[in-house]
Amino acid sequence: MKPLVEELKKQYTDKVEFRVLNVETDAEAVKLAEKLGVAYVPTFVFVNTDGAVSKTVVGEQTKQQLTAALGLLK
Amino acid sequence: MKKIVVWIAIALVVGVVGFLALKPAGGLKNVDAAGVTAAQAKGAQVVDVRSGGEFELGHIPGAINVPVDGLQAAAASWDRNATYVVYCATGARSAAAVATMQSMGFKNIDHFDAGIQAWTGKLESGTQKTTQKIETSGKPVLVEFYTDS
Repeated sequence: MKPLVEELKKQYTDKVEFRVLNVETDAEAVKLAEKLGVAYVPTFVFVNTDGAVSKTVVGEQTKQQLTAALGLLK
Repeated sequence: MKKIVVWIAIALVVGVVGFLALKPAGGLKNVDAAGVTAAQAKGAQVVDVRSGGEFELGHIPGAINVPVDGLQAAAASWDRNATYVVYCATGARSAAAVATMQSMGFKNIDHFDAGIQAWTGKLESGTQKTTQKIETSGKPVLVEFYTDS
């Protein structure tokens, strides 16, 4: 998944902030995962500018699925 | 007399071997809607292996959405000893998902083999959401949670 996320990160560089968090090595990531109710990896959480979660999806995603959800962010 | 004993012994061996061969492997069992509810009450995680779009239209309350194509990667970090209830629309995709999970060593799988069409309880709609907010820097954010293992 990383290459796809890296590709999208470049594509959306001025529009969307990407946070790629390892829940095995990053204690802050674990705290955030708990706050957002994330129990499985990989999980993608799409967050609007106001901080509200727009969508959460679990499991590997295609580029099409990710770009569709990114397109809905406000 | 000796012959009878031998035949009984052979019958016993054949019976035991046959039983073991036919016994479902990996704690798999098919459940109906009531079985799903009962499993949830005992702490089972319900896994909806349909597409995100189907999930949004309506799903069993408490279910997580892991489309069958992404199940192997998503389930890699899951507890193999926990109980999972797996379903799709009609049982075809969930059968594939169950086979994947069995091959990965999951020990307790309840297969809602009739699928959501046989669900008699309430449905939830919408994507998996939380009411929690996170801090942003003035731009939308995509957060990916992952592990390397």
